[in-house]
Amino acid sequence: MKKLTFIETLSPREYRALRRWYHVSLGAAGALLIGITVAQLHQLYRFARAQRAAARYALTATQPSQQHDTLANTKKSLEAQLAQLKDTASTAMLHTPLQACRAACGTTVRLNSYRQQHDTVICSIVCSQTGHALAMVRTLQQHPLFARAKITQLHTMQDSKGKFVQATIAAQLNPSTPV
Amino acid sequence: MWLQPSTSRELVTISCTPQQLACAWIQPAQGAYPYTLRAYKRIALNRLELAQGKLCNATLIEKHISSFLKKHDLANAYLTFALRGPELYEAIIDAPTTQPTMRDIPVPKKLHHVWDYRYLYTNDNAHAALYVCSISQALLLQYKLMAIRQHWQLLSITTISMGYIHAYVHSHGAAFRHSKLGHDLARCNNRLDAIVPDMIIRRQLAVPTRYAAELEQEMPTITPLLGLTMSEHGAL
Repeated sequence: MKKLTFIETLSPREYRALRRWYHVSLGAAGALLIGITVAQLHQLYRFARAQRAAARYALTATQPSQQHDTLANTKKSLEAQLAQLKDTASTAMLHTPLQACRAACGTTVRLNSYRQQHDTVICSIVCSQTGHALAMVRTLQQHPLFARAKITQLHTMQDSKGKFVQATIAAQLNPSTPV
Repeated sequence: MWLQPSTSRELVTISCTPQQLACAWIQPAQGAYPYTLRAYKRIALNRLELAQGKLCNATLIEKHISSFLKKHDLANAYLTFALRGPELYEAIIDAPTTQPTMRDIPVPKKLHHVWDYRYLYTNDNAHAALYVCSISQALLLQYKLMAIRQHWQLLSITTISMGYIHAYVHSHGAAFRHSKLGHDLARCNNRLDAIVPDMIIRRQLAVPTRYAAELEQEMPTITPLLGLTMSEHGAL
Protein backbone atom coordinates (compact mmCIF):
# COMPACT_ATOMS: atom_id res chain seq x y z
CA MET A 1 0.00 0.00 0.00
CA LYS A 2 1.28 3.44 -0.91
CA LYS A 3 2.18 5.56 2.01
CA LEU A 4 0.04 8.57 2.82
CA THR A 5 1.69 11.84 3.65
CA PHE A 6 0.43 15.38 3.86
CA ILE A 7 3.69 16.99 2.75
CA GLU A 8 5.75 16.78 -0.38
CA THR A 9 9.35 16.18 0.53
CA LEU A 10 12.42 14.96 -1.24
CA SER A 11 12.97 11.29 -0.81
CA PRO A 12 16.23 10.29 0.85
CA ARG A 13 17.54 9.13 -2.51
CA GLU A 14 16.70 12.47 -4.11
CA TYR A 15 18.18 14.30 -1.17
CA ARG A 16 21.39 12.31 -1.40
CA ALA A 17 21.56 12.93 -5.15
CA LEU A 18 20.97 16.64 -4.56
CA ARG A 19 23.63 16.71 -1.90
CA ARG A 20 26.06 14.88 -4.18
CA TRP A 21 25.29 17.28 -7.03
CA TYR A 22 25.71 20.26 -4.70
CA HIS A 23 29.06 19.06 -3.44
CA VAL A 24 30.28 18.22 -6.92
CA SER A 25 29.19 21.67 -8.11
CA LEU A 26 30.83 23.30 -5.12
CA GLY A 27 34.02 21.35 -5.73
CA ALA A 28 33.97 22.21 -9.42
CA ALA A 29 33.35 25.88 -8.63
CA GLY A 30 36.17 25.81 -6.09
CA ALA A 31 38.51 24.14 -8.57
CA LEU A 32 37.54 26.68 -11.22
CA LEU A 33 38.14 29.52 -8.79
CA ILE A 34 41.51 28.11 -7.80
CA GLY A 35 42.38 27.64 -11.48
CA ILE A 36 41.43 31.21 -12.31
CA THR A 37 43.36 32.48 -9.29
CA VAL A 38 46.44 30.49 -10.25
CA ALA A 39 46.22 31.73 -13.84
CA GLN A 40 45.78 35.31 -12.67
CA LEU A 41 48.66 34.99 -10.22
CA HIS A 42 50.82 33.63 -13.01
CA GLN A 43 49.86 36.60 -15.18
CA LEU A 44 50.56 38.99 -12.31
CA TYR A 45 53.93 37.35 -11.71
CA ARG A 46 54.81 37.74 -15.38
CA PHE A 47 53.62 41.34 -15.33
CA ALA A 48 55.73 42.13 -12.25
CA ARG A 49 58.74 40.46 -13.84
CA ALA A 50 58.22 42.47 -17.05
CA GLN A 51 57.91 45.64 -14.99
CA ARG A 52 61.18 44.89 -13.21
CA ALA A 53 62.88 44.22 -16.54
CA ALA A 54 61.47 47.45 -17.99
CA ALA A 55 62.75 49.38 -15.00
CA ARG A 56 66.17 47.77 -15.47
CA TYR A 57 66.21 48.63 -19.18
CA ALA A 58 65.07 52.16 -18.44
CA LEU A 59 67.96 52.50 -16.01
CA THR A 60 70.39 51.27 -18.67
CA ALA A 61 68.87 53.62 -21.22
CA THR A 62 69.30 56.68 -18.99
CA GLN A 63 73.02 55.99 -18.50
CA PRO A 64 74.09 57.60 -21.86
CA SER A 65 71.94 60.59 -21.02
CA GLN A 66 73.63 60.86 -17.65
CA GLN A 67 77.00 60.52 -19.34
CA HIS A 68 75.93 63.22 -21.77
CA ASP A 69 74.98 65.48 -18.89
CA THR A 70 78.26 64.76 -17.13
CA LEU A 71 80.21 65.48 -20.31
CA ALA A 72 78.21 68.66 -20.89
CA ASN A 73 79.01 69.77 -17.35
CA THR A 74 82.65 68.92 -17.90
CA LYS A 75 82.57 70.88 -21.13
CA LYS A 76 81.04 73.83 -19.36
CA SER A 77 83.62 73.73 -16.62
CA LEU A 78 86.39 73.36 -19.19
CA GLU A 79 85.00 76.30 -21.13
CA ALA A 80 84.90 78.29 -17.94
CA GLN A 81 88.49 77.29 -17.28
CA LEU A 82 89.37 78.21 -20.86
CA ALA A 83 87.74 81.60 -20.49
CA GLN A 84 89.64 82.10 -17.30
CA LEU A 85 92.81 81.07 -19.05
CA LYS A 86 92.06 83.50 -21.86
CA ASP A 87 91.60 86.25 -19.35
CA THR A 88 94.85 85.26 -17.78
CA ALA A 89 96.44 85.23 -21.24
CA SER A 90 95.12 88.70 -22.02
CA THR A 91 96.52 89.83 -18.67
CA ALA A 92 99.81 88.35 -19.74
CA MET A 93 99.47 90.13 -23.02
CA LEU A 94 99.11 93.31 -21.04
CA HIS A 95 102.83 93.15 -20.43
CA THR A 96 103.63 93.23 -24.13
CA PRO A 97 102.52 96.92 -24.68
CA LEU A 98 104.23 97.79 -21.42
CA GLN A 99 107.43 96.18 -22.61
CA ALA A 100 107.07 97.97 -25.95
CA CYS A 101 106.66 101.25 -24.08
CA ARG A 102 109.67 100.54 -21.94
CA ALA A 103 111.64 99.65 -24.99
CA ALA A 104 110.51 102.87 -26.64
CA CYS A 105 111.63 104.82 -23.59
CA GLY A 106 115.19 103.79 -24.15
CA THR A 107 117.80 105.45 -21.98
CA THR A 108 116.67 109.03 -22.34
CA VAL A 109 113.15 108.76 -21.12
CA ARG A 110 111.97 107.56 -17.75
CA LEU A 111 108.58 105.89 -17.58
CA ASN A 112 106.76 107.30 -14.63
CA SER A 113 103.44 105.49 -14.96
CA TYR A 114 101.63 103.15 -17.29
CA ARG A 115 97.89 102.71 -17.46
CA GLN A 116 95.85 100.64 -19.88
CA GLN A 117 92.13 101.23 -20.23
CA HIS A 118 90.50 98.90 -22.69
CA ASP A 119 92.42 99.59 -25.89
CA THR A 120 94.00 102.83 -24.79
CA VAL A 121 97.43 102.99 -23.24
CA ILE A 122 98.38 106.11 -21.28
CA CYS A 123 101.95 106.56 -20.26
CA SER A 124 103.40 109.30 -18.17
CA ILE A 125 107.03 109.95 -18.87
CA VAL A 126 109.78 112.24 -17.64
CA CYS A 127 112.67 113.27 -19.84
CA SER A 128 115.23 115.99 -20.04
CA GLN A 129 114.26 117.29 -23.48
CA THR A 130 111.06 117.51 -25.48
CA GLY A 131 112.71 115.79 -28.37
CA HIS A 132 113.14 112.66 -26.36
CA ALA A 133 109.39 112.55 -25.79
CA LEU A 134 108.73 113.13 -29.49
CA ALA A 135 111.20 110.35 -30.33
CA MET A 136 109.33 107.99 -28.08
CA VAL A 137 106.05 108.94 -29.73
CA ARG A 138 107.49 108.21 -33.11
CA THR A 139 108.85 104.90 -31.90
CA LEU A 140 105.41 104.00 -30.60
CA GLN A 141 103.73 105.09 -33.82
CA GLN A 142 106.00 102.76 -35.75
CA HIS A 143 105.37 99.88 -33.41
CA PRO A 144 102.77 97.44 -34.79
CA LEU A 145 101.05 97.22 -31.41
CA PHE A 146 100.00 100.83 -31.34
CA ALA A 147 98.11 103.20 -33.52
CA ARG A 148 97.66 106.94 -33.20
CA ALA A 149 100.22 107.51 -30.49
CA LYS A 150 100.29 111.12 -29.45
CA ILE A 151 101.36 113.46 -26.66
CA THR A 152 98.33 114.63 -24.73
CA GLN A 153 100.13 116.65 -22.10
CA LEU A 154 103.55 118.20 -21.98
CA HIS A 155 104.93 120.23 -19.11
CA THR A 156 108.30 121.70 -18.62
CA MET A 157 109.17 121.66 -14.97
CA GLN A 158 112.13 122.55 -12.84
CA ASP A 159 113.53 121.16 -9.65
CA SER A 160 116.73 121.40 -7.77
CA LYS A 161 118.63 119.47 -10.41
CA GLY A 162 117.42 121.57 -13.27
CA LYS A 163 114.72 121.62 -15.94
CA PHE A 164 112.91 118.47 -17.06
CA VAL A 165 109.94 117.63 -19.24
CA GLN A 166 106.90 115.66 -18.01
CA ALA A 167 104.67 114.34 -20.77
CA THR A 168 101.62 112.14 -21.05
CA ILE A 169 101.39 109.96 -24.14
CA ALA A 170 98.20 108.24 -25.21
CA ALA A 171 98.21 105.47 -27.76
CA GLN A 172 95.56 103.21 -29.14
CA LEU A 173 96.21 99.53 -29.17
CA ASN A 174 96.10 98.27 -32.71
CA PRO A 175 93.01 96.04 -32.97
CA SER A 176 94.34 94.16 -35.96
CA THR A 177 97.35 93.08 -34.05
CA PRO A 178 96.81 89.78 -32.30
CA VAL A 179 97.19 90.17 -28.62
CA MET B 1 27.30 26.68 6.18
CA TRP B 2 28.72 25.86 2.79
CA LEU B 3 28.25 22.15 2.98
CA GLN B 4 24.93 20.42 2.98
CA PRO B 5 24.44 18.57 6.27
CA SER B 6 25.10 14.91 5.99
CA THR B 7 22.15 12.62 6.45
CA SER B 8 22.20 9.28 8.09
CA ARG B 9 20.08 6.34 6.96
CA GLU B 10 18.33 6.27 10.32
CA LEU B 11 14.65 6.95 10.69
CA VAL B 12 13.01 8.28 13.81
CA THR B 13 9.25 7.98 14.01
CA ILE B 14 7.31 10.32 16.23
CA SER B 15 3.68 10.09 17.20
CA CYS B 16 1.87 13.11 18.56
CA THR B 17 -1.48 13.04 20.29
CA PRO B 18 -2.93 15.62 22.67
CA GLN B 19 -2.06 13.32 25.56
CA GLN B 20 1.40 12.06 24.68
CA LEU B 21 4.45 12.34 22.49
CA ALA B 22 6.36 9.20 21.55
CA CYS B 23 9.68 8.91 19.74
CA ALA B 24 11.07 5.62 18.48
CA TRP B 25 14.26 4.69 16.69
CA ILE B 26 13.64 1.40 14.95
CA GLN B 27 16.24 -0.17 12.70
CA PRO B 28 15.86 -2.98 10.20
CA ALA B 29 17.81 -5.99 11.39
CA GLN B 30 19.08 -9.33 10.15
CA GLY B 31 18.10 -12.41 12.05
CA ALA B 32 15.05 -13.69 13.80
CA TYR B 33 13.44 -10.27 14.09
CA PRO B 34 13.18 -8.05 11.02
CA TYR B 35 13.32 -4.89 13.14
CA THR B 36 15.03 -3.82 16.32
CA LEU B 37 13.84 -1.16 18.69
CA ARG B 38 17.02 0.84 19.35
CA ALA B 39 15.50 3.63 21.38
CA TYR B 40 12.09 4.63 22.57
CA LYS B 41 10.64 7.35 24.70
CA ARG B 42 7.09 8.30 25.54
CA ILE B 43 6.37 11.62 27.16
CA ALA B 44 3.03 12.40 28.70
CA LEU B 45 1.85 15.89 27.80
CA ASN B 46 0.11 17.22 30.88
CA ARG B 47 0.57 20.94 30.28
CA LEU B 48 -1.59 21.34 27.20
CA GLU B 49 1.43 21.35 24.91
CA LEU B 50 -0.68 19.76 22.20
CA ALA B 51 -4.09 20.90 23.36
CA GLN B 52 -6.73 20.16 20.73
CA GLY B 53 -3.89 18.73 18.65
CA LYS B 54 -2.43 22.19 18.04
CA LEU B 55 1.16 23.01 18.85
CA CYS B 56 0.43 25.28 21.80
CA ASN B 57 3.96 24.97 23.18
CA ALA B 58 6.11 24.20 20.19
CA THR B 59 9.30 25.02 22.09
CA LEU B 60 8.67 22.26 24.60
CA ILE B 61 7.76 19.76 21.89
CA GLU B 62 10.93 20.70 20.00
CA LYS B 63 12.92 20.30 23.18
CA HIS B 64 11.53 16.81 23.83
CA ILE B 65 12.25 15.65 20.29
CA SER B 66 15.67 17.33 20.08
CA SER B 67 16.78 15.84 23.38
CA PHE B 68 15.78 12.38 22.13
CA LEU B 69 17.70 12.92 18.87
CA LYS B 70 20.72 14.34 20.67
CA LYS B 71 20.81 11.59 23.24
CA HIS B 72 20.96 8.91 20.56
CA ASP B 73 23.15 10.91 18.15
CA LEU B 74 20.40 11.12 15.55
CA ALA B 75 20.67 14.79 14.66
CA ASN B 76 20.82 13.98 10.94
CA ALA B 77 18.20 11.26 10.95
CA TYR B 78 15.00 11.41 8.92
CA LEU B 79 11.84 12.10 10.88
CA THR B 80 8.33 10.89 10.29
CA PHE B 81 5.44 12.33 12.24
CA ALA B 82 2.22 10.46 12.93
CA LEU B 83 -0.53 12.70 14.28
CA ARG B 84 -3.87 12.26 15.91
CA GLY B 85 -6.23 14.79 17.40
CA PRO B 86 -9.21 17.04 16.82
CA GLU B 87 -7.41 18.97 14.11
CA LEU B 88 -7.28 15.84 12.00
CA TYR B 89 -10.27 14.30 10.31
CA GLU B 90 -10.18 10.53 9.91
CA ALA B 91 -12.94 8.28 8.67
CA ILE B 92 -13.60 5.06 6.80
CA ILE B 93 -16.18 5.82 4.15
CA ASP B 94 -17.97 3.94 1.42
CA ALA B 95 -17.47 5.19 -2.10
CA PRO B 96 -18.81 3.88 -5.38
CA THR B 97 -15.34 3.83 -6.87
CA THR B 98 -11.86 3.03 -5.65
CA GLN B 99 -10.52 6.29 -7.11
CA PRO B 100 -12.95 8.96 -6.00
CA THR B 101 -12.62 12.64 -6.76
CA MET B 102 -12.67 15.39 -4.18
CA ARG B 103 -16.37 15.95 -4.80
CA ASP B 104 -17.19 12.33 -3.93
CA ILE B 105 -15.61 12.43 -0.49
CA PRO B 106 -17.45 14.25 2.29
CA VAL B 107 -14.48 15.84 4.04
CA PRO B 108 -15.37 18.85 6.22
CA LYS B 109 -13.53 22.15 5.70
CA LYS B 110 -12.11 20.91 2.43
CA LEU B 111 -10.58 24.26 1.55
CA HIS B 112 -8.78 24.61 4.89
CA HIS B 113 -7.58 21.03 5.02
CA VAL B 114 -5.13 18.90 3.13
CA TRP B 115 -6.77 15.58 2.58
CA ASP B 116 -5.96 12.20 1.11
CA TYR B 117 -7.38 8.68 1.09
CA ARG B 118 -6.30 5.08 0.73
CA TYR B 119 -8.31 2.18 -0.55
CA LEU B 120 -8.89 -0.47 2.14
CA TYR B 121 -11.21 -3.14 0.83
CA THR B 122 -14.33 -3.71 -1.21
CA ASN B 123 -17.65 -4.18 0.50
CA ASP B 124 -20.22 -6.79 -0.40
CA ASN B 125 -22.22 -4.15 -2.27
CA ALA B 126 -19.20 -3.51 -4.51
CA HIS B 127 -18.56 -0.17 -2.90
CA ALA B 128 -15.01 0.59 -1.86
CA ALA B 129 -14.16 1.27 1.74
CA LEU B 130 -11.68 4.10 1.84
CA TYR B 131 -9.65 5.45 4.66
CA VAL B 132 -9.97 9.24 4.36
CA CYS B 133 -8.01 11.68 6.42
CA SER B 134 -7.33 15.37 6.35
CA ILE B 135 -5.30 17.84 8.36
CA SER B 136 -5.74 21.56 8.75
CA GLN B 137 -3.34 23.72 6.78
CA ALA B 138 -2.50 25.69 9.92
CA LEU B 139 -1.43 22.63 11.90
CA LEU B 140 0.59 21.34 8.97
CA LEU B 141 2.35 24.69 8.75
CA GLN B 142 3.13 24.54 12.46
CA TYR B 143 4.88 21.21 12.05
CA LYS B 144 6.70 22.39 8.92
CA LEU B 145 7.93 25.50 10.69
CA MET B 146 9.07 23.46 13.65
CA ALA B 147 11.04 21.17 11.34
CA ILE B 148 12.57 24.11 9.48
CA ARG B 149 13.51 25.83 12.72
CA GLN B 150 15.22 22.73 14.10
CA HIS B 151 16.80 21.70 10.75
CA TRP B 152 15.11 18.32 10.87
CA GLN B 153 15.06 16.12 7.80
CA LEU B 154 11.33 15.70 7.62
CA LEU B 155 10.25 12.74 5.53
CA SER B 156 6.51 12.63 6.01
CA ILE B 157 3.61 13.70 8.15
CA THR B 158 0.79 11.22 8.35
CA THR B 159 -1.77 9.89 10.79
CA ILE B 160 -1.36 7.32 13.51
CA SER B 161 -4.09 5.25 11.87
CA MET B 162 -2.00 5.10 8.71
CA GLY B 163 0.81 3.75 10.88
CA TYR B 164 -1.49 0.95 12.02
CA ILE B 165 -2.49 0.19 8.43
CA HIS B 166 1.18 0.04 7.36
CA ALA B 167 1.98 -2.20 10.34
CA TYR B 168 -0.83 -4.52 9.30
CA VAL B 169 0.14 -4.53 5.62
CA HIS B 170 3.87 -5.02 6.13
CA SER B 171 3.49 -7.60 8.89
CA HIS B 172 1.48 -9.73 6.49
CA GLY B 173 3.99 -9.16 3.72
CA ALA B 174 3.22 -10.98 0.48
CA ALA B 175 0.21 -12.63 2.16
CA PHE B 176 -1.59 -9.30 2.50
CA ARG B 177 -5.00 -9.21 0.92
CA HIS B 178 -7.47 -6.33 0.94
CA SER B 179 -10.30 -8.76 1.59
CA LYS B 180 -8.54 -10.08 4.70
CA LEU B 181 -8.07 -6.48 5.85
CA GLY B 182 -11.79 -5.94 5.39
CA HIS B 183 -12.54 -9.05 7.36
CA ASP B 184 -10.23 -8.04 10.19
CA LEU B 185 -11.61 -4.51 10.24
CA ALA B 186 -15.15 -5.89 10.44
CA ARG B 187 -14.05 -8.13 13.28
CA CYS B 188 -12.60 -5.10 15.13
CA ASN B 189 -15.61 -2.94 14.39
CA ASN B 190 -13.60 -0.79 11.98
CA ARG B 191 -11.18 0.24 14.71
CA LEU B 192 -7.84 0.59 12.98
CA ASP B 193 -6.02 0.60 16.33
CA ALA B 194 -7.06 -2.99 16.93
CA ILE B 195 -6.35 -4.63 13.58
CA VAL B 196 -2.73 -5.49 14.36
CA PRO B 197 -2.47 -8.19 17.00
CA ASP B 198 0.30 -7.71 19.56
CA MET B 199 1.62 -11.15 18.72
CA ILE B 200 2.51 -10.06 15.20
CA ILE B 201 4.43 -7.06 16.50
CA ARG B 202 6.28 -9.26 18.98
CA ARG B 203 7.37 -11.46 16.06
CA GLN B 204 8.51 -8.45 14.01
CA LEU B 205 10.29 -6.31 16.60
CA ALA B 206 13.24 -7.18 18.78
CA VAL B 207 12.87 -5.20 21.97
CA PRO B 208 15.86 -4.59 24.27
CA THR B 209 15.49 -5.80 27.82
CA ARG B 210 15.34 -2.25 29.16
CA TYR B 211 12.05 -1.78 27.29
CA ALA B 212 10.72 -5.36 27.66
CA ALA B 213 9.07 -4.75 30.99
CA GLU B 214 6.96 -1.91 29.63
CA LEU B 215 6.32 -3.43 26.23
CA GLU B 216 2.82 -4.55 26.99
CA GLN B 217 1.89 -1.08 28.09
CA GLU B 218 3.68 0.62 25.22
CA MET B 219 2.44 -1.67 22.46
CA PRO B 220 -0.39 0.65 21.27
CA THR B 221 2.18 3.44 20.83
CA ILE B 222 4.96 1.35 19.34
CA THR B 223 2.76 -0.43 16.76
CA PRO B 224 2.05 2.59 14.49
CA LEU B 225 5.67 3.75 14.85
CA LEU B 226 6.82 0.33 13.68
CA GLY B 227 4.32 0.50 10.83
CA LEU B 228 5.74 3.83 9.70
CA THR B 229 9.28 2.45 9.88
CA MET B 230 8.17 -0.51 7.77
CA SER B 231 6.62 1.78 5.16
CA GLU B 232 9.70 4.01 4.93
CA HIS B 233 12.20 1.19 5.05
CA GLY B 234 12.35 0.81 1.29
CA ALA B 235 12.92 4.51 0.71
CA LEU B 236 15.98 4.82 2.96
